[in-house]
Amino acid sequence: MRTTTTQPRRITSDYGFTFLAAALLLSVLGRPLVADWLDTGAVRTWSTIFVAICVQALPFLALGVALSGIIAAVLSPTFLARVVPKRPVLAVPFAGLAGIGLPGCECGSVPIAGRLVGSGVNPAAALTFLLAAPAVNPVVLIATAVAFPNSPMVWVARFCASMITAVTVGWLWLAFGRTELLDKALRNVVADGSRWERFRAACVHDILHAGGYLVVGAAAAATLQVVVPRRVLNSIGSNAAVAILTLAILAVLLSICSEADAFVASGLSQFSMTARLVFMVVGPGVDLKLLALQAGVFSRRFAVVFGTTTFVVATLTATVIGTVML
Amino acid sequence: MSESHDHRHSRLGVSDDAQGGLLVALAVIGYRLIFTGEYLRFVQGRMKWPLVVASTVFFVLGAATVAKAWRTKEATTTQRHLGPAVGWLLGAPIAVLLLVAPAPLGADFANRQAVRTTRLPQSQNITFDPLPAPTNGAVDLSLTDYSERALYDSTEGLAAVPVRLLGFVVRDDEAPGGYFLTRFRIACCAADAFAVQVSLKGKTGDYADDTWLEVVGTWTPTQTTADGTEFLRAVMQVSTITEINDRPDPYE
Repeated sequence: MRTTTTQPRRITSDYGFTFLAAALLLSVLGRPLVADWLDTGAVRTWSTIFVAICVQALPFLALGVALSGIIAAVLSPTFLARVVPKRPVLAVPFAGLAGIGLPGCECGSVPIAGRLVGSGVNPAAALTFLLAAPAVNPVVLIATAVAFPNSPMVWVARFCASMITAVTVGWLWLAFGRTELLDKALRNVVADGSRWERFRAACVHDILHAGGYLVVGAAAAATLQVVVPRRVLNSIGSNAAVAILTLAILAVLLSICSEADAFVASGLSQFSMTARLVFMVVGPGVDLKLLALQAGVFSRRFAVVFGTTTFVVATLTATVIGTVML
Repeated sequence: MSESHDHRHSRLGVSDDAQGGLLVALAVIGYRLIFTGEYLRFVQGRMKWPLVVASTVFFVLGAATVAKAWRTKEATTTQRHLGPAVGWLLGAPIAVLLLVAPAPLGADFANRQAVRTTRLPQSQNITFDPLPAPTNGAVDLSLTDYSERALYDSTEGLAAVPVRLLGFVVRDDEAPGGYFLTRFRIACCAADAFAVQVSLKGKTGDYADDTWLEVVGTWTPTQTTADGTEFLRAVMQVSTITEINDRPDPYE
C-alpha cells in the first residue's frame, strides 16, 4: 500500500506532526503578545487580502485536485489516449474546446493539466487545456457579459482572444517545447494501491505542492496590492500602447480570479476597451499565483518560459482582437 | 514522484502525519470561518457552500492521511517519506488568521486605491428602476445605487428625496475635516474590492477612520472637474448622522 513515492526514505523528520501541533498552539496563544505590534493599517490590509485570496482559491484548488485525483484513480492512460485525437496538431484545438466544460477558476486547472501530462496526454494539449479552461468557460463568460452590460461584444471578444491564445501557445509548445521542463508532472506517476488509496495519495500530494505555491502567490499579490501607490493608474490611461502594457502587467501582478476580473476591468474605465480586454485575456493565463502554482506542478523553469510566452501571445492576440472587434 | 525528485525535498519536508494534520487544521479553520460568519470579510456570500465542501474534502483526506501514517508508523518504525517543504506554507494562512485576526478592508485600503466611483461608464440615457418605498422617512440605498443614480440619472429622480446610506468613514486628506462615506464592492474576494465613496456635505461631525455611520440626507449635484480626468464622487447634503456599533456585512 505505498503511495506516490517509489522509495520510502529513512526518517529525518520524525517530529513533523509535533512541530505542526506546537506551531498551531503558539499561534493560538501568541496573539495577545503580538497584537499591538501587528496592529498597523498596512499589516491588517495585507492580511485581509492574503487570507481572502487563499479562502477564495482553496475551494477551487480542492475541486481541481479532486478531479485530478479522479483522473489518476479512474481514467487510465489508454482511455485518455483513445479520447484525445492522435495527431497532436488536432489534439491542441480539441483541448481548447474541452476547456469550455470546466466551470472554475484558474487555480483548479493547473493540477488537472499536471495530472493529464502525468497520464500521458500530449503536453501541448494539456497546456492548451490549462490556458483555455479558466478563460472560456460559461461562468467566466457570463460574468463578463454582466460586467459589461452596455457592450455585448466584450464577452465574444474575450472568448475569441482567449481561445486563440490557448491554441497558439499549445502549437508553439508542440514546435519548440522541451519535455524536461515538465519534470515534476512527468515523474508524478501514481503507483499501486486500491482505488481510494490512489485517489487519496494523488489528492494530498497535489494539495501540498500546488497549495504551498498558491500561498506564495497569494502573499506576493497581497504585497503588491498594498505597495502599488494610490492614483498611479490615473495618469497612465491616455497613451494607447502604454495603457495596454500597463494593464497586461497589472493583470499579472494583481492575480485576480478569472471569474472576478471582468468586474475589475469594467471599473478601470479610464483605459481603452482594448486595454481592458488585454487585462482579461492575460490574467487567467499568467499571474503571480499561477506562476507559483506552475512552478510547483511542473518546474520553476517551466513557469518562467511558459509564463513569458503566454504573456506575449495573450497581449498581442487581445490587442488585435480588441482593435478589430471592439 | 521518483526517488531523485524526492531527494530534493530536503529534511525540512512535511512528514505524512503532518501533511494530514495540516489538511485537518485547514478544514477546522474553514468551518470556523463559516460558523462565525467571518468568511464574509474575505469572500462573497455565495462562496459559503464551496467552502463547506472544500473543508469537508480537506478534513476527510487529512484524517485518512493521519490514520494511514500512524498505522504505517507502527508497522515500519524507521522508514517514511517526506512531502515537499513548500507544503508547510499551507500553515501560513492559518497562522495569519490566528495571529492577526484580519478585519474587513477599511480606510487604509481605500486610501491605497486609485479613486473610483461606480462601475457604470459615463453614458447617456441610462434608465433606473423607480426608487424603493421610504422606511422611517427615508429611502434606503446602497452606496453603489446612490452613486449611479446621483451621477447618471438624467431625470434627476433623486432630487429632494431623503435617502439613508450606510458606510464607514474615510477622512479626506485633501480637505481637512471632510470625509467620505465609503463601502467596498467585491465581485469574488477582497483582492478585487474597490471603494465606492460618497462625499458628505453640510452638518458633519468629527469621526475617526473606519467608524460605521448611518447617514440621512439629500442629493446635490456633483461638480464636474474641468479636465474630465478626475473621477467623480456622488455628493450628499447631510441632515442626520448616527454612529452604529453592530456592523453589517462589510461589503456591498
